[in-house]
Amino acid sequence: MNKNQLVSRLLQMLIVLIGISFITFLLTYLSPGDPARNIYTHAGVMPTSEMIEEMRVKLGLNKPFFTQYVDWVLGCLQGNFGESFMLNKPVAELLMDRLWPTLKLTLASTVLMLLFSVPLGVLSAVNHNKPIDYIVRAVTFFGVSIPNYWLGLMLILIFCVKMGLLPVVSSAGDFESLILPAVTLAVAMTAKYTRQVRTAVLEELHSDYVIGARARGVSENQILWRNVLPNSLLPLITMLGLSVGSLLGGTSVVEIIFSYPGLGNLAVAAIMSADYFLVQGYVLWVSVIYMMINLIVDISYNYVDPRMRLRR
Amino acid sequence: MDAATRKKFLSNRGFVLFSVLAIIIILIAVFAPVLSGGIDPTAGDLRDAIMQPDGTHLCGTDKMGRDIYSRVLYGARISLVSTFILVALVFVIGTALGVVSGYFGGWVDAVIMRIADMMIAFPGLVLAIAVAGMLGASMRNAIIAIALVTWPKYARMARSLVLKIRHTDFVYAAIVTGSSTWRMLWKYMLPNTITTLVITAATDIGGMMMELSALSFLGFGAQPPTPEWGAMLNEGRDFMQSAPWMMIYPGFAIFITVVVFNMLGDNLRDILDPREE
Amino acid sequence: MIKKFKKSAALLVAGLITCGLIAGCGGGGGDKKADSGKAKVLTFGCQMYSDGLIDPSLQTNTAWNCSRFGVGQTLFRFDDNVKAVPQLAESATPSDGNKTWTFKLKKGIKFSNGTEMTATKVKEYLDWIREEGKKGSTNPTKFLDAGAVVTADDAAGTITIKSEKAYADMPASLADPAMVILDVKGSTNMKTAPVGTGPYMVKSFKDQVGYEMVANPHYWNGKPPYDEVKILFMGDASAKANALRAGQIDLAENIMNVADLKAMQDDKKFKVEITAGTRCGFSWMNMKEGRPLANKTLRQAIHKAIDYKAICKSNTIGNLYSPGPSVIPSSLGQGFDKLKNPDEYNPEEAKKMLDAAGIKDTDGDGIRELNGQNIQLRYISYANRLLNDFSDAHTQYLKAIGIGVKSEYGSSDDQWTKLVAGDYDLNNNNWNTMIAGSNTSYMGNWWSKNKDNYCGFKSDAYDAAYEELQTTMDPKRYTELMTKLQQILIDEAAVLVDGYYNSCIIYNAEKVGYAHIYPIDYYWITDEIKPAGAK
Repeated sequence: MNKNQLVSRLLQMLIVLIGISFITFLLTYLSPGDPARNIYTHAGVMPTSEMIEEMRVKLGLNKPFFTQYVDWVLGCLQGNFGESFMLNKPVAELLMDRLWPTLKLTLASTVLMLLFSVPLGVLSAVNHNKPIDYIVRAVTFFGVSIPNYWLGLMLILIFCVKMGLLPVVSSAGDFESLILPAVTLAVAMTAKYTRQVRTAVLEELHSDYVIGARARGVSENQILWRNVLPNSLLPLITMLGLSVGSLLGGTSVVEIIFSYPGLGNLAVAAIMSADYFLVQGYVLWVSVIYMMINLIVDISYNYVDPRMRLRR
Repeated sequence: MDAATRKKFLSNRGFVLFSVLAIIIILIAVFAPVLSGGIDPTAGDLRDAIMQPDGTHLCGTDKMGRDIYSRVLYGARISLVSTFILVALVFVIGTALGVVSGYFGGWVDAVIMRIADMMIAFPGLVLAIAVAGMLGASMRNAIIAIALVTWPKYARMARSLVLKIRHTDFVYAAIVTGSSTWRMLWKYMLPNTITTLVITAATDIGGMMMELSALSFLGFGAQPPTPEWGAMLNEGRDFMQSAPWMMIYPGFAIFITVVVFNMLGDNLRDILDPREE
Repeated sequence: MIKKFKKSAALLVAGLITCGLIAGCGGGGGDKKADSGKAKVLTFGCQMYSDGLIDPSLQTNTAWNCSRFGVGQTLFRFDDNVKAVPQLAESATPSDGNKTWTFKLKKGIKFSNGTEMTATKVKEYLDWIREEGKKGSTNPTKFLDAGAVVTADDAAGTITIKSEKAYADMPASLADPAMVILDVKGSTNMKTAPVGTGPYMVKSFKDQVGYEMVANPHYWNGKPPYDEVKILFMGDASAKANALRAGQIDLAENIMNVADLKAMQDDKKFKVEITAGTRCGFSWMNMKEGRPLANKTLRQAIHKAIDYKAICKSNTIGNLYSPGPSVIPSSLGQGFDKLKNPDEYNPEEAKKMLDAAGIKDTDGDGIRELNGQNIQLRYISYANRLLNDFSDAHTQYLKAIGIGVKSEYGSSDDQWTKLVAGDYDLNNNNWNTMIAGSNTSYMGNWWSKNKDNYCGFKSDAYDAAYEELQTTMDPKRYTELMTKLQQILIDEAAVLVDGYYNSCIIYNAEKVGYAHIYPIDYYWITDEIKPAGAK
């Protein structure tokens, strides 16, 4: 990626960012319910219409839609995402607090996924259409089809309640409480990824240069380690980026089951009590992080693969 | 369908097996009133609440004394119908926008694709949960929410397929000979995309079913007493230890259905798109 | 060649799996920390109310948290008979027709920061809470009116409270958790670490996770039995029971799952203590004009259609609620035995009544019509103390006699907002019927002159009796009036009662030697909870 490409890419991102912020804002703007009123009722106070009006002025809710949106965006740019009335804290601070646990969970499950999926995928591809391939494929099929919330509950039942090995409630956010949530998330991902690794490796194994190399008598091991693996793992980097990103947004269910103190758990609670600023802040944050990850993946992809540099 | 294609389909044992299983699941949904022996899945008697599986209640009862066997059967209706609606919705919207975007190019393309970029920039269920939560919890809103974040995938795919043939000579020739735009889209562009998109849709059924029931599990989808599997699981999780049947049966129902439709989609891909294997 | 590769690949896989297992076991192995070590630690699992904050001026729940977590204590407290008994105060003497009260404080009580709890300190708090409480919803002036003047006499160790209003039982009023005595000036972080006189004090707070508490080194009532108390918030209903079984917590309050509770009662490892509480679960019936439930026949039919005894006996509700038709718990001795219920469960009669009143299903959709419109009652409820289960059960019974119900289950805020706005037909909630030591304030819910009458109920007989109830100082007459009020509500079929909530506390008998739950649920962590093996 040269400078021009990077600039145009960033420009594109900026447009998307503006769009995201707009959608996010619109979403809470359109939803039924009045934030000004909720602030009071959440504290158990029944507001009079004057109190509500006063609060609306204070929050700027009386302004026209577009002004409100611009105000909010400007605030966000300065790091001010508003205040959560549910928790009486600035949204930015709450999100900051929860970000690390969710990142930790995401990373842990990604590591688990890589540990299992790459070897399994390669194994399966090398033994194409042999028993081991069938077994791996069958297992991955089940892996993709188990709803993670069910799997999570079963794991709790087995490892926490029956065997008492791990904590039932992962609210502490330490290493022990990370294990089961990470495993739960990793199962479906591993299954998916194993299949992708397998496909990628198979494709490379059937490519002309491999056939050529074989014909030249290069050892199978050498072909695999020197050529096939590096080449087939390239496209997988992109997928890795994507799945890490979507994990970031897909942890809610698992976080809730395990009472894990992450972003997803916070977001669902915020939605349940219609904590608008918190919902807005959450959606915006996660999508920005996701975009960043994608950008990094793209750039690294360009670095790793010389062909891409030429193509662009 | 000519004889050769038919043979291709029928000679794939996996496809035949899973088609049969899928049809069985659909039949279960259709004949749920008969199979359940006429037991109303939403009616219960508190005196029968949380009963172990036995002769009268094959899968036990839930906390309102409702028959879980009947609820699981009826749950197939809810899950299948809502998933099919969702997939159809995403398929139609995504394909239409993608084809239009690819064919016309220019600002139409730019607008549609930037919107798609925005939707895709929300990872996973984030936007879906927010939309479902903000619109209010119901199955309809859950479908809208997931559709909103899934269509761009189809649109992008359709667009890239259209772009592959958009600038070929035969397309230009067709335009020159006076084919109407509508005809161009319908006769040339759409058929070119349809196979790939059908495969994608088929393989997506299982995943979307899980996403829908995940929303219900979180309380953003079907509301009680609707017999939806995800919602039932949510209800059952409080009784995980003391009344595991409340969780096991709906869980198995989702699992089996998703496996069958995933396998079916996979086999369909093998048949229609041999490059993948 | 392939073979050779397979071998190395297999080795690789095996190696990775082993790594994974080691990592996994490493985590599991560190689980059992030294619980027999020197420090005695109690881990307590509880529901998180109002984000677990413990500033009593914010909300009712935060005041309760402050008392429940063993941080703050009141001058008087409620005992097993819901009578106010001395705690930080030694005695209370009324004079001037119960308008002036003098409290003698116990000697030598210190806050957890070492500051002595003088009369001035008590006054400071009582003044502060009434001022600060204006912003929140605790409503402290309900327990001590804003005009009451507190004077402190440090030398004598007394405070004197002069009010315009007569208090039948001011000690009971000041036993409300809003009146926990805190060191106002010494508390730098009121929200999560106020300084009180309780057995434990906050060491750290983690949002959504819980508290780490340590023994108050200056505790007035002996050395607290535990060195550390960990409070873990458990959002999930099954989590408390599972965590107890898994040994993650030693003590839990109110497991809402009858099946789990029964299993634990049968298990020697656990002890379950259940007590008849002061709480009543009930659904408001919106009787305002134009609402379907303004129709008395319909209300009576609804009562006849619902088998409240069967609901309370079911596996779902079990012993967590005791059945009854009245809004006052049977255990409080306010004339429950004398009450007559004309609307006992009888669905056939309910149907006949409705038919006779012309409330029939004429369009054949299975739902009766009232004034030409299908009856679709909007039922508001929220997930607290099995309320949604009651609402679901009611809905089922009503469906059976052809009354449609539309469930709207949301948050407690949602329920409260709709209640106050009158935006409901049935609205299920769970109230503490004893406020400041009596039922008076609670019975005002149906007094037509009260702004808190959210259901439009109006009965002259009720109003007259209620107004007398407010002024009477004679306990016998009080009970008579209470009986009358309850009977009027039953006769008018004005309230759909779920039942009377029983509180419980469950503990791991191998770890905890003694714990106790009081009928009024202001007290969870107390100095009475002792480790197993302690005296």
